[in-house]
Amino acid sequence: MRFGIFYEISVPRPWGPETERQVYANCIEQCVVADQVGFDHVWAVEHHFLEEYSHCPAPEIFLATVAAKTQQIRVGHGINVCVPEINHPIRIAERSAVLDLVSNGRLDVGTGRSATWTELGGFRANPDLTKATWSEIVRALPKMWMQERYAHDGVCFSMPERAVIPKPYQKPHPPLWVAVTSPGTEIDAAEHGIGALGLTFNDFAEQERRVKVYRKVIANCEPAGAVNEQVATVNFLYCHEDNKIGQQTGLRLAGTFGYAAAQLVSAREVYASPSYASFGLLPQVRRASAVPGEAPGAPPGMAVGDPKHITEVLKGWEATGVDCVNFLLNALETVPQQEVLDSLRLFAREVMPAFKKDARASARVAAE
Amino acid sequence: MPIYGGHTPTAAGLPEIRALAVDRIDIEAAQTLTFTFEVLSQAAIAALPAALHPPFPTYCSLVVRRHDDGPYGAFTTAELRLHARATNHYVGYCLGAFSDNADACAWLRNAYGLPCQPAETVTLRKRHYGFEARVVAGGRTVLDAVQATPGFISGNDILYVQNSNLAALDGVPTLIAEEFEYAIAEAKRGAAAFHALDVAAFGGPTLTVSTHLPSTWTGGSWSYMPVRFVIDPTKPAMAGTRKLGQPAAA
Repeated sequence: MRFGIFYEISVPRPWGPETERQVYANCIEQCVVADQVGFDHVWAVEHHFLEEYSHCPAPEIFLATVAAKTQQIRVGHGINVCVPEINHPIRIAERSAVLDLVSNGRLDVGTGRSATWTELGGFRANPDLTKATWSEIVRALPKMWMQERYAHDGVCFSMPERAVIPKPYQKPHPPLWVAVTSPGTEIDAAEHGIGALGLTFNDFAEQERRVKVYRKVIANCEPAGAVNEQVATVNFLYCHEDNKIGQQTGLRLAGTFGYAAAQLVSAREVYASPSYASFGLLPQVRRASAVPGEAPGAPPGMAVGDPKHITEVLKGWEATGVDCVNFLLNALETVPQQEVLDSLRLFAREVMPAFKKDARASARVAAE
Repeated sequence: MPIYGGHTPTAAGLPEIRALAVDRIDIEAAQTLTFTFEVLSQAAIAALPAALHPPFPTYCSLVVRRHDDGPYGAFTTAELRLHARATNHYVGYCLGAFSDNADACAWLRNAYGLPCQPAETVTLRKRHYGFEARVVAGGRTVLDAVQATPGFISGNDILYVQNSNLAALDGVPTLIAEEFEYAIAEAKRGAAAFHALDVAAFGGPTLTVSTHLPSTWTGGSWSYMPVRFVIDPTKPAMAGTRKLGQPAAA
C-alpha cells in the first residue's frame, strides 16, 4: 500500500495579485514536506477554465518545479487530456519525456478525456468522440517513446514518420494510467494494460468488485505498452491528534471541495451523450445532501480523524485490493497551510508505519 | 467562494402563490424538447437572485413540454431557464414561460410559482424532418425552432435539472422548488436550428445567446411533485432554505 497526494490547485475568490502565487507556493511546500516524510507520489491534474475549482492547466510545469525541489517522490501528470483539440499527442509524448528526464525517471503519465463541458466546449471538442480519441492516443504514446521514429495514420490524428524526441529516462517508458470516474473505465484501463487512477469515491464493496474485474481483465489485455497493473483510489486527508477536530476539519475540507466541484458544468449536464454516463469529479460527496442547506454527512471510508481512525479506514481500503491511495489535502485553502503540513507529518509518523510498501511499485514497469 | 447572483427581486409582477402544490400530479404521456445554449456571463449573473450561484459557462435551456393530459386537460408549456446552483444543487431558474392552456397556466403560477403567461400558440410537433416547437404570444412569434435529423440516444443520457421559480409567497419574493420525477421511454438528439428565438420575450431581455448545444427530445411520463422547500432569494441558499413545515431560518 502506497500513499500519494493529489492536486487540483483550487484558488478561492477574491483573486488578488498574490492569491494564485501563494496557493502554488503552498502546494509546492506541501510536496517538499511529503517527499521528506515518505509519501510516494504527487499527482497534479490538467484542467482548463474551472474557476476556483482548479487553476492547474500546466501541471508539467508545476511538477517540474516539484521534481527540482524533491529527491524521492514520484511526480504524476494526472492527467493529460487526450483530446486533440486540447493536447496534440506528439506534445504529450514530448513533454512527458522531458519531465521524466529532468525528474531522473520519477514520472507517471496519467491520461484522460475531461469530464466538463466547461473544458470540452471551451476547446470546441466533441464529447461524443473523446473515448475514442483517448484510446487512440494512449496506444500511440508508448510507440512514440519506444520507437526510434514513428508514423501514425489514425482517426483523430496522423503524422508522417518522425523521431519524437527526447525519449523518456525510464525504460521502456514511464508507467501509464487513466483517470477513472465513469463506471467501466477501470475495464478500459485493464484492456489497455495501464493503471486505474481512481478519482471518485466508491464504497468498499464496489471498490473491491472493480479491482477484481480490473485484475481479471488485465491478465488478458492487449497492452498499449509496458503493462502497469496498479489501482489507485482517491480520498481526503486530514489527520489530527484529536479525532473530533480531525473529522470536523476533514468534513469542512470535503464539503468545500464538493461545493466548488458543483459549480462546474459537467458534460453530462448539458450534452446528452453515451460517452458521459457520470458526472466525474467526486460527485458522491455533493449528492449526499437532498436539500440546499443540509450538510452532507461523511461518506464511509474518508480518511479524516485521528491516526487510529485513519489507519482503520485505510486498512479497509487496503482490503479492497487497491495499491495506492492518493489524498486531497485542501480545497480553496479552507485548511490553513500550517495545519495541512502538520497533518501530513502526523500521518507519516503515526499511520504510514502500519502499511508495508508493496513490492509492486511503479519501478516494476521499468524492470519489465 | 463562488459568485452569487446580482438580482434583488421585489414582489411586484411576480406570480402570487395561492396554494403551494401538496399533491403529486402524474402525467402519463409527455414529450419534452430542450434547446440548450450558452449565454454571456455578465448579464446572466445579474439576472440570478443572490441565493444562487452561476455555473461557468453560464447557460440556458428553453424547454418545451407537451402534456397530453393534465388536471386542466392537455397543455403545452415553453420555459426559459437560466441554470444555476443552489449551494451544490443544480437548478433551472425560470425567467419566463408560456402555455397554450390558460387554466393550466394559472395552476402552474399558483401552485409552483412558474411565471407563466397564456399564449396564442405553444406547440411541440413531430415533423418528417424532426421536432418543431413554436410559440406565438401577443401576435409575435417568439420561438420557432427545430431539432433537425434527430438520432436515437438512451434515456439514461438525459439529465433534467430541478426547477426554481421566483414568486410572491405571502407577499414576499420567494424561490419555489418545483421538483419533478420522470421516466423516459424514448430519447433523441439532434442539431438545433432557430427561425425565431426571442429570449427577451421569455424574460431575459439582457441575455446574449452565444454557443448552441445539441437539442434533445424525450417521450415518457412526467410527474409534478409536491413543493418540499423554498428559498429566500436574498440570502445564500445555505442559510435561506426552509423546508416546508419548519420555521424560517433566523
